Amino acid sequence: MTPAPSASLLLRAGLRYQLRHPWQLFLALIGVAMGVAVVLAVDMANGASKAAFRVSAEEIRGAATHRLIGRAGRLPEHHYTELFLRPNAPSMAPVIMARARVDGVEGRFRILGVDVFAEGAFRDQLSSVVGSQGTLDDWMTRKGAAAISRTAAERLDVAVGDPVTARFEGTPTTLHIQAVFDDDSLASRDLIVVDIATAQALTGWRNELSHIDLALTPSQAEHLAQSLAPGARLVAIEDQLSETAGLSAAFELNLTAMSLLALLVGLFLIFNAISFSIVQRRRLLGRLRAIGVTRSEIQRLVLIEAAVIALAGSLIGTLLGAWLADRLTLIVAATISALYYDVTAEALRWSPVTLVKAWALGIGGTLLAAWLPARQAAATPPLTTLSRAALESTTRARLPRVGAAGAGLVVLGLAIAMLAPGGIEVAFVGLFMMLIGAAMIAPLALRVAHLLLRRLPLQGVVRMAVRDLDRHLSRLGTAGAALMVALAASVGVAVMVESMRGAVGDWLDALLTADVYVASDAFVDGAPLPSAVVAQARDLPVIDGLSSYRDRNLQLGGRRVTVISAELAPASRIGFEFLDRTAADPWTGFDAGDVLISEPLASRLDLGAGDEIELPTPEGDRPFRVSGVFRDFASEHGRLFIQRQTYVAHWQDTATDTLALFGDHTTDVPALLDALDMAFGGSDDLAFTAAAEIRAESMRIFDRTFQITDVLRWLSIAVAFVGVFSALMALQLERRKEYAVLRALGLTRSQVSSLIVLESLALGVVAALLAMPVGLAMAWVLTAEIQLRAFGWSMPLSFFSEPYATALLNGILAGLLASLLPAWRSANQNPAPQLRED
Amino acid sequence: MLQVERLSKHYGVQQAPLFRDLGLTVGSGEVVALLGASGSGKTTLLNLVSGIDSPDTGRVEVNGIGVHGLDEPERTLFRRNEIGFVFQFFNLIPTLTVGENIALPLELVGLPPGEISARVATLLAGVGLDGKEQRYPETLSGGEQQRTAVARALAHRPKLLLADEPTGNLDTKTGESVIRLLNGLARDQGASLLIVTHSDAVARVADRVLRLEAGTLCEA
Repeated sequence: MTPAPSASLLLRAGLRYQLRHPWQLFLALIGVAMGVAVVLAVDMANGASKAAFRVSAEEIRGAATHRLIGRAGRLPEHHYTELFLRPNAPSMAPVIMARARVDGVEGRFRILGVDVFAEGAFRDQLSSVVGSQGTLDDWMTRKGAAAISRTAAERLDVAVGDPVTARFEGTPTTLHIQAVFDDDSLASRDLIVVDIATAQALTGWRNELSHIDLALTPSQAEHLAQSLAPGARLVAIEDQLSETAGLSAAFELNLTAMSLLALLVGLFLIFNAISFSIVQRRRLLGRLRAIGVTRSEIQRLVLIEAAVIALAGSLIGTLLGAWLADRLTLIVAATISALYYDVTAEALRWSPVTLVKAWALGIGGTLLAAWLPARQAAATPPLTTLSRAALESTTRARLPRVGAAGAGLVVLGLAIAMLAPGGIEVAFVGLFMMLIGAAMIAPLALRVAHLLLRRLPLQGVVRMAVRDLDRHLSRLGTAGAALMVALAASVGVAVMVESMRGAVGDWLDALLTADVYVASDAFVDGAPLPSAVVAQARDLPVIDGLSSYRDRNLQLGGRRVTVISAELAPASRIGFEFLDRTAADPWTGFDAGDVLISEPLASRLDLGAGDEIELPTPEGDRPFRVSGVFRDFASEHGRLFIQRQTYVAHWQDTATDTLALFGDHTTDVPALLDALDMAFGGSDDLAFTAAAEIRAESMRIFDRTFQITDVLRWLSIAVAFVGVFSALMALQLERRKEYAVLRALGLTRSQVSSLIVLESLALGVVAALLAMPVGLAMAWVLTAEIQLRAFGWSMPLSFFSEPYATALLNGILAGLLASLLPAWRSANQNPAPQLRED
Repeated sequence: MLQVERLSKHYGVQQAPLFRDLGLTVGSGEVVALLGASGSGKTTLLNLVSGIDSPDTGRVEVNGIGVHGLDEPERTLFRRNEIGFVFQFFNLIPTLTVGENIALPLELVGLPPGEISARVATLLAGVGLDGKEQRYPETLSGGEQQRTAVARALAHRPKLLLADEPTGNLDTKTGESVIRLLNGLARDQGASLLIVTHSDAVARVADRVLRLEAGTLCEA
């Protein structure tokens, strides 16, 4: 036999050992693979949504570097004329961008209104589409001329010459397809391009633009910024895109933290699998040490083995992660679209950074998890094999120290999470420290459970199972820790979500005081109520009171803040919960022209009652006094209430979006709905919705938002389940001889099975019991700090029995299910060969 | 080759010392058999000589190297370079083939692959395992496994061979053939051989037979 020149026999021996123990290898690989898969999937899903947004925004942007936007929303058109007439005017193109529905299909299309003569310098592809097909005359002269992407045309089943009906804020406009352009990009798939005049007619934005695209050098930009008329603002497109994409950063960070949790649980599995392989090979390692293999060579051997497992596991994890990412992307994109910005769930993109990150975590994490077992292996004395009993007694001797260190880490982690300044990253670091600390306490908890249980008058197999809890601490401790972390995370997240659900429910109950809410049927598309409806509603005899609302989005501190102009009936005011109770009556200030701001807005801008906030109005920025900060879960970006008359005076906008109607005390809600239906002649354009219905729909949206959290929570439990299973399989392999001796001594097959099942059940129950306080502490951090730092809303921590009961049930189920195969295998093994081995 | 002076060792505070001022000399190329009752400390003596364990007091010198003064990593390297070990339970690496088991000490001392191959081939022929180099230890008989262990112990041409009950796990006939092989190969290489044994047959091949009793050595 000729050894390969560069191959190390030691390494070969180690790797062959792994291959000869496929179960162990499989479980170690699963630990790495599942951890890597979840991290990769979440990163890819986040990345896919962000990339889809970026690609689409970049293509629409074309060659533009800057944008001139309106300070108070849309940009008055005269800014374009004024800029165009300046000497040495830069390249510029006026743009209208809007979303509209098209009859016959679900979803909305992007309307891009452009001036074809100004487009050349920016989006030459678009201008050539119109020009090259000889349609320029039609484009300029025919009302409603539109160019449409091939994908959009197929979706709408239309061809050149066909008309389509686009609806903006519910108002229909007929467009005529003049050109169909090939699209090979994300941006153009839902795009309808029209002339800017057509876009203005379609949107009703007379003499207004969405923005003006500009191609500027830095010095031109600086010069222009200094010479702008009031009401306009120059922004670098790059900054604007980053700002928009950054809106979902907190949401994405939350997901990433959840995925790291799955990786943490996965690392416990790796630690377990590798340390088990060390213990099982202690005799072999002793032989190697006897013939002159050094400690560092043994340590290196174990780490190289771990690295090979990590590589293979990461590869499997990558494939598994891609599959998972495919599913998560849809959920993530839907949540981002609902909460932050429009994004299409598109095909996944393999980003080298994502891959490197996931692989670095997989390989780095595995090596970290293998470090301790490798040191343990290196410490193996030559020949005098490290006995299992010696290992267990060492583990038991270390328990108080490890437990105390764990308790210290829990306290330190909590202190960092709750007290250290910084963003949510700091709070998450504290949270992870606390979890790792709690994991270090888990083996001690198993020992305590053993000490308590052994006082009971237990008999036979049950007594043996209780004793085994303590005898196999080195194995069961890690599995218990992994399961505890997963269950604690499950409790923590569930309590946090339920607390928030309760707080949102209470908030909705307080807020939705009216009986019926009225809006345009196309309210979701931004359509206001016809003014006649508002006037008529006020005079209805069945109506005892009314509140009216008008929403407008403004950019404040880099975020889109919703300004709500409101005329509030006394009953509507009751629904506001003001957080600063020491301040003077906020309503007095509100009626006098002050504003009320939501808690997220107040915490983001660091404002309180009595402070001033500058709002962009068409006449320029105007200061408003804040008279109160109210609890609000409607938007993490912030909402601001302003008295209707004050709003109309500054923004010259008299429209009303929604009405809240209070029926007289003799009319119940169904009767009120009937009366409204009669009064408005069963109008199809109006939607009457009972408060209860809005509440139910809001809670449905809430639950959908946390769907992704639920998925990740279950993934962590699945990883932990594999951990318990792996520990039990490992023990079963290691204790084959012991079981054989027990069988030889007269233990029946079912008694051997019961021994394993009971041990596993006890492990699951102890892990679940410890997970309860740890989960509660995690929920406290998530609720009191992370939600506040990420989204700006505070909420009381509520106590629900369901998450704890679920954790206990999951612990029992995990213990039971994980024990079935090991129990079956142990009971059915032939004891004779084991008894013959030395 | 081996010089042991005033060696003492005891385990546990309460227990009596295993050796007290023990002395032993083994000459170059000499074969010494060490007899003694179970628990008399024969294996411990081998462990102290090989540096697997360290003495409480006294000197152990092998080929001019003061083993007693080496720290743990130095003792490991000493074992790697200077000692060949044959154990009662063979202690082969189950995941390496016969050829790879023999090659392992050679790889550890950093021999070039060509030389390793040549030496493994010679050793395989020497122990009568031609054609079995690709087999795994578990597929061999006890005698074949012990012959592999003998080849492994001799592979890196150590100056001192230590054998701890090398025939203890073999039947008489196989045991005799293994001990003849070990003795012959050690003499061929000019290595000294210290054999711990219970077997008179094994002791008969030795140049000198010593008995360990009550912590001291005496000629048998």
